[in-house]
Amino acid sequence: MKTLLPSPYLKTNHSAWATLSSMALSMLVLAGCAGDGDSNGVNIQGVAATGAAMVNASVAAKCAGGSASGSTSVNGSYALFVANGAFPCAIEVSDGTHKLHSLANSSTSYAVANVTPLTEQLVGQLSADTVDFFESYSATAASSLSASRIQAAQDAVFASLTASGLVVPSSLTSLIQGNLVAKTSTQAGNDYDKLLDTVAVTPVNVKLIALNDFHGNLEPTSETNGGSVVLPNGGAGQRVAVGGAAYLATVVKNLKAKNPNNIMVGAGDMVGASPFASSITHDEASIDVLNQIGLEVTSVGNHEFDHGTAELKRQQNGGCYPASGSVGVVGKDTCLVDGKFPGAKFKYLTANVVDTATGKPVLAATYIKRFGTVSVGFIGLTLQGTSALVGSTGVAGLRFDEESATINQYAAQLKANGITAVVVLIHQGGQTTATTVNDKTCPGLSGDIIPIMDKLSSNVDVVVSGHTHQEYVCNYASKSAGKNILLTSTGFYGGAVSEIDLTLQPSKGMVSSAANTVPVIRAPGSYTVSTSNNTVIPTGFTAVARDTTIDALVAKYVAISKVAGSQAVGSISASITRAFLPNSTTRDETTEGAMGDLLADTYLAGVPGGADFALMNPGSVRADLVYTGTGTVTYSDLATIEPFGNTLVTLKLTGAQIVRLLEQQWESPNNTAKTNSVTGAVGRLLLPSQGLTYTYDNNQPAGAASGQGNRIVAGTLKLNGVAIDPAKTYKIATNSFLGTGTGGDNFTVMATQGTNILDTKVLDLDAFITYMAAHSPVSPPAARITRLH
Amino acid sequence: MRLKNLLLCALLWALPGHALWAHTLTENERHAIAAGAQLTQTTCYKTIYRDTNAYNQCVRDLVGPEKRNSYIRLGAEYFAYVGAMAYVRVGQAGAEQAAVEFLKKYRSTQKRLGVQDEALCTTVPGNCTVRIAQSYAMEAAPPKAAAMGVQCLGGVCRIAPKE
Repeated sequence: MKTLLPSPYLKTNHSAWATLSSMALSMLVLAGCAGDGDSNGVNIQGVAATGAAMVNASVAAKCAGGSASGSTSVNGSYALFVANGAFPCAIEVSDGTHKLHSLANSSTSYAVANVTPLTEQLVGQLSADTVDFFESYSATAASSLSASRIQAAQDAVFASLTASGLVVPSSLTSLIQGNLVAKTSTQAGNDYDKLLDTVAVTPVNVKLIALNDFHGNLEPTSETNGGSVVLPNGGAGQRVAVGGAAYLATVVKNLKAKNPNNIMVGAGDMVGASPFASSITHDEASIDVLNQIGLEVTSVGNHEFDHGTAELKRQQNGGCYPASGSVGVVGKDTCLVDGKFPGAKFKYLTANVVDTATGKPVLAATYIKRFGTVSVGFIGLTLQGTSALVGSTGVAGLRFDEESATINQYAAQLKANGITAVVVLIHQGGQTTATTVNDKTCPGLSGDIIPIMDKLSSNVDVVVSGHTHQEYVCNYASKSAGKNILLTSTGFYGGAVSEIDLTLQPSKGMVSSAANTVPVIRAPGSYTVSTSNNTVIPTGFTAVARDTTIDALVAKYVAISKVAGSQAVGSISASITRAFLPNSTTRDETTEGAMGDLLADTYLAGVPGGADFALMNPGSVRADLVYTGTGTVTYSDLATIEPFGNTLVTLKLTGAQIVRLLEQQWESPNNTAKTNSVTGAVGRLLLPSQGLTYTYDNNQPAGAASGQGNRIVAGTLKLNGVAIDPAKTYKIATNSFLGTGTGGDNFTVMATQGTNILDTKVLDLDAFITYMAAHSPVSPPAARITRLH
Repeated sequence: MRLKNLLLCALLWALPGHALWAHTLTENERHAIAAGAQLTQTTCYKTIYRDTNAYNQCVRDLVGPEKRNSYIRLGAEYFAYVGAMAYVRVGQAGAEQAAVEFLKKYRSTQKRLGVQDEALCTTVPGNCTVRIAQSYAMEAAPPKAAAMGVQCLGGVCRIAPKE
């Protein structure tokens, strides 16, 4: 049996020599206890220090074949024998304040492994989440840790130190095995230890580039729908045209160029409720574009659950959209690049979205990025109320936990693991009373983010928020004493990003923060959508040209969508539209609309096994069929009208239950959810298929409690001219939004009282396509509902 | 005499909010306006980003003529305008129409009560110089109600506001 000491230790001063002699003796004893050490295990020793010795800290080693634990002495030194272990090994030292990692590797049975913030940085080169690296360290992980890989990681650390202006002592050639004498009450630290002192107080500037609620808006959108912002410019300010992925890419590139320590982050709803160019590709187009713009991590939002957990996981991990009816055709609407879809390069975080079957988040909860000597931990989550905003099939098997408790739990864990700063990415937000963008006074902040912010612990440094489509930069300490948290949000549809600058110090965490909203202002003449106000931009703002790479990518997807969307699927004889509020683009849900009636007809015709009649909700009708000369209707027309991917559901209700269901149209809370101040109508009207007719009396009171409404005129509810029998059972076709879970839009009767509820898995869009093919030219349906008074 | 009074009233009605007729608010009046503003903020403001129509209706319900003290009503109407403008600044669909509606409403109440622009503005946090300038700009050139028409983008045609 032999014990080797590395050469640096032979050159130490007397104190260090005494220490090392002691360590060597320990090794001899340990090795002796273990029997023939060389063949049955490995010896590891070193010093744990942060600039001062880590005293009485716990030490653990994991090697291929075995593990061991112990503690450090008063000078930070430790020695372990790992029975049956083999190199390379992972080391973790924790003193309650710091948790640091290192590696031990040697061609013999002995290795020196110092553990310092710089070895932590080295391990961070191999895996940003060093705690997870250690916890999951296995023989497989060990086999991938070659000496050259470790050397490359060390070279990267030395390079970052030099780039930060730090002078590395010439004597320090190995962070793991170099001579380290830690400062204690009885000894001074050596050069390596002094370097650690310097590193601890040297600030590092980090730039976050944040985006929220992009909603797949690859192309610039209308100025009256997210495509403009009002900038401060004296007087009333100046409106400028903003947005478009190619312009966004330029802004991001410019911001990244300002600081190499950067990361682009998101706060949810990156996709979902997307324009056709993205939605036709099941948002693969937007994910590809965001990949290439450089998004690195985002929280999920409620819209990421529109099509369910399986689809979210596909968007994260890749794979083609499942083939079903007219969708899932490789090369047409999915897997558009070489027949593949690799998924998002960026990480979706779901800290508070728990799979009830496993009790764990459905995707990762946190993400760590290291910038030289500092690290930033990100926690991503969506609003707790997501399930109320998404159809029940989208959130089946999921639990959405309260936000602040989730954040505090993960933030404490990240800080305990040595992460320098914690940034929360949350799809929940607030609203201000600002008059222009970039008003950093954050006037009148209110909304659902407030109670969350008020409960956050001091472990949280920055909150990037979204959901409310608002823009703000708020120093929350000015709103709530002691809450030194920066809160931002950046509007929607890619009209702006938040530029967040953090100064981080390894020994202190975040020492300062600041943010700007940077609007994505389109350079004049570079896009056909109006940029008339962009000719002279207010001081402090800049218009940008398109990034050519992203521009070409967007153009490619728009072309794909046009090909897929231009496929003729039928024809109409006249426009078939929703009902609209007067002088408004807002659909009027208080009255019957022809488009919704037609969709109900497609349900009835398309549902397997048939039904007596069909009902659908006005909120699921998103566009209209407009007669433009030829009457031709294309795939994109239909996909825009029914973008949600709902499936057809059948169920049975008695005649009496059908009356109750229809009364829910005007009962509380539907009576206030939708109103028309001109016609005096209130409530949400379900759209019925042909054959179902009735009359309601608008003079009867609305807003009755559940089950107490009385507006249907007795004897008028008929199916094909025959009065509905209260005692008889009828089979109804509807969509998964209304017919499953607890029933969407406050219509609970079908989902909670219906019997024989069956999700047929037939897409509403497929039923629509089939109907148009069979019935063209289609004319606007006749009204089925009569209003009295 | 009666005609003279009518003309005087008409003249006063036409003057902007900082005209001579406006008076300085008492503490009670100011508190009432602030309370009205807070009422709109807490009751209705959350709805605007999803549905400006719901926001408009929520405010209309709040300021029903028989329901409110005049100063509270002024505060509620004023916040409705301010909140809408906070969404106009990010191009939210329907926000301009909401702002126009509540600008007319609060201006009417403001003039009836004789409240100065500056005094009213300070009841809701924000930049009053810009906010007051925006209100006059909107009155001078009110955005037209969105004209509906057929719009085709990317091969998809729909009824949408004309650009």
